[in-house]
Amino acid sequence: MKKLFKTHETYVALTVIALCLVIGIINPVFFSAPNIVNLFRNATVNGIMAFALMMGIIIGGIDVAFPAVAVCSMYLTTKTLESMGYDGPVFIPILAAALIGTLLGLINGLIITKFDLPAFIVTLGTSSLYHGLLVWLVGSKPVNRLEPPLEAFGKMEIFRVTNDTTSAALPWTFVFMVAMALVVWFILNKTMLGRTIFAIGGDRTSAERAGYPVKRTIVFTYTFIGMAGGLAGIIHAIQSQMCIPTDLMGCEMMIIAAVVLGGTTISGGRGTVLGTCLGLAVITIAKNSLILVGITATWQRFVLGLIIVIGTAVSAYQALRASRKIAPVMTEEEEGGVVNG
Amino acid sequence: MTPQQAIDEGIQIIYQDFSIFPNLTVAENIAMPSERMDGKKFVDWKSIRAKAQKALDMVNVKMDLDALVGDLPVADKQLVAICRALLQDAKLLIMDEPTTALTKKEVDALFKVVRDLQAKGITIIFVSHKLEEVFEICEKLTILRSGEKVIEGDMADFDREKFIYYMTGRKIKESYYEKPNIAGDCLMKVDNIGIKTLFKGVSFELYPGEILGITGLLGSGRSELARALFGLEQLTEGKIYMDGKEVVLKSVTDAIDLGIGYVPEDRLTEGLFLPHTISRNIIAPVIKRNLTKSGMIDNKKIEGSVDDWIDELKIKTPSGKLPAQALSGGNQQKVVIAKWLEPQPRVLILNCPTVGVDIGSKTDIQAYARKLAQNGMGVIVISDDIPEVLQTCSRVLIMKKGRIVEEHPVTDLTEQSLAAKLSES
Repeated sequence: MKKLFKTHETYVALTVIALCLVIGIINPVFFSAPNIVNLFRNATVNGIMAFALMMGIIIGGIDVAFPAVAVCSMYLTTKTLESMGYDGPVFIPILAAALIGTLLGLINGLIITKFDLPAFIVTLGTSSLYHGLLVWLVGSKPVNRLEPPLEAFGKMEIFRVTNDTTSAALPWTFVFMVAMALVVWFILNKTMLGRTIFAIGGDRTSAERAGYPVKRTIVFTYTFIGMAGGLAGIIHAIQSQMCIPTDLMGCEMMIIAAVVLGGTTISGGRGTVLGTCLGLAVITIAKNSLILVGITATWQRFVLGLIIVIGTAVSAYQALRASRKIAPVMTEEEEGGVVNG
Repeated sequence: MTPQQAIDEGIQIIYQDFSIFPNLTVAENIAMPSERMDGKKFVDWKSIRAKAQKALDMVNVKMDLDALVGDLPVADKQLVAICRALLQDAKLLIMDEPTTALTKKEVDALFKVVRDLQAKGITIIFVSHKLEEVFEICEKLTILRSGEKVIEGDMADFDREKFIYYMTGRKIKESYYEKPNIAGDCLMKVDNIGIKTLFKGVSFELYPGEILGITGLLGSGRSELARALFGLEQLTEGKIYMDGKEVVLKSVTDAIDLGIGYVPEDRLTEGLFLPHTISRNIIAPVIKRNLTKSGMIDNKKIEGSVDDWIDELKIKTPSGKLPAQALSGGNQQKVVIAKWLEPQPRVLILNCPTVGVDIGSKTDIQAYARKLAQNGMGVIVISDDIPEVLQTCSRVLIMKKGRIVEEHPVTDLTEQSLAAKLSES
């Protein structure tokens, strides 16, 4: 029980509950089944990216290119399908998008390890590079209507809830987020690869000295983030039933915020899937439900920013306090008493 | 040869910084590399815990397997590093200055572990510059100086003097420091100062020409006292006087303005801007005095005074333009000292000035402290290095559990008597 109150997850969970209660009390619509189902639906794409990105932050790096990777993957895939009038099974385009993402992520990973450059700089560069190349070579005309297999998949529902006023459905695409969370959890906690990621994030030099395959693991991590980016891209297109090649661009800060809010230390070495789930919940609720309490779109950015700053500051402050804790030299008794030296 | 190949051959190194993973548990730190060596792809927590426990049993230590290594005291971190090495079938264990951060008691415990390992047939290379430890634990000795082997032989062929001679290439005389007869009023007086839970009732006076030693074990409150005297911690009681006038040290800037200099305990994290040049490091506290009329940094002026310091303190470097991290520990420490002498302080506080410093630089630094005092500076040396305290200081205060418990002129003390006073509770 004591341990429960020490973990960061507990505090984020309390934040989620508080946020829900405040919004729900002001506007009970928040607790209606369709609203909750919609929140899960809206978390899908961000979630896929957040879980993968968490691995990049744990290893002591960062990736800001995954939105560009997502856009490239979804646009190239949907554009190709459109031009060939695709009518095959749906898993092939999803696989294709994931493969494009994998390739772009691999390029990131290779540049980072080959030249030993900071991941932030590399991915900032490739983000611009990938997106620029896409717009230059393929153009930026939206795909207004997806090919039938994708369109049909987007309309497949796991279940639907209806009340007096509205109705909402959880689409099958949601399964991809759950799968991503499970895969990341499995890698981080059950494989040597995952423990190597933690080790590198804890102390890279130590990992090298202990003979861990540091570079290979870093390349894997960025490749994996690229794969998740590609997947998130195509899922986004499927969910919105169209493909606009400027969508998602700029979402990286929100995703990073979700991961960091969830207790992943930005300097690496620490992070949990559960924490990221909770961080994602905070961001999703703030982004989608502030409108329910009368905070208009203009103020929404402000409040969202406030939540991120306060949320991350609290966790940073806790870490600071822990590191600055000076062990007392004297007990109360010794302080009051007479010394017998 | 890559680290992995060396490991496969049975060579294990305990690095000076231990090379552990602060974010992972004791069990994982100890057993994971061995699990990796077994070629496992998946994590088997049961086997990891069992292996870690086995390694801890080998060195006869009890530790919580689930504690995060980053939260452990230094001595335990070291044991974790040793256990990890043992699990990887070490045949040759290289220990790089393993005692730097340990107290006397912890060193004794470590030596017991080392002897146990030796009895189990493991060869150990013990890298150290601490004379007492080398004499205690080693059987054969090789001395390196400036990258060259100077001598090797059986420990029995060496005595103190010979050891120091080969380490430094010169004969070093060990003697007491006597306060010269300098007239002068009390430079600094502290009256009953304290910080809640850290130290209490500390009083002393410091006169020009004096080297005042404050000694006590790690955790006696000695470092906290030093930090308070430089405005890094705020007093909760008592008063400090400089030249008879009461002063309040709210910040480091106050302390510098009052003519106090402080060479901190850990030069790597508190004393140096490692990637920056030696010049910039030395000039940092007085940057405002080295500006041209237009407010830009006056590089010519800086270069001149930096070269003077390099000569004065015998810093071994081709130029002041090298980054501080390129220097050896001893020379780095000299840079830190130069940095705090550049503002021309009247009171200099040296907190453990020769930790992790080679014996040649150590002698240079101690001699320089004497020279400063002879020229009228008041010097405070905080240290638990008993020979250093005896050879450098003219008066010694002993600190225990946050209080000054004894005061002696250095001539009343011997290594044995001071060691006994420190360890008795």
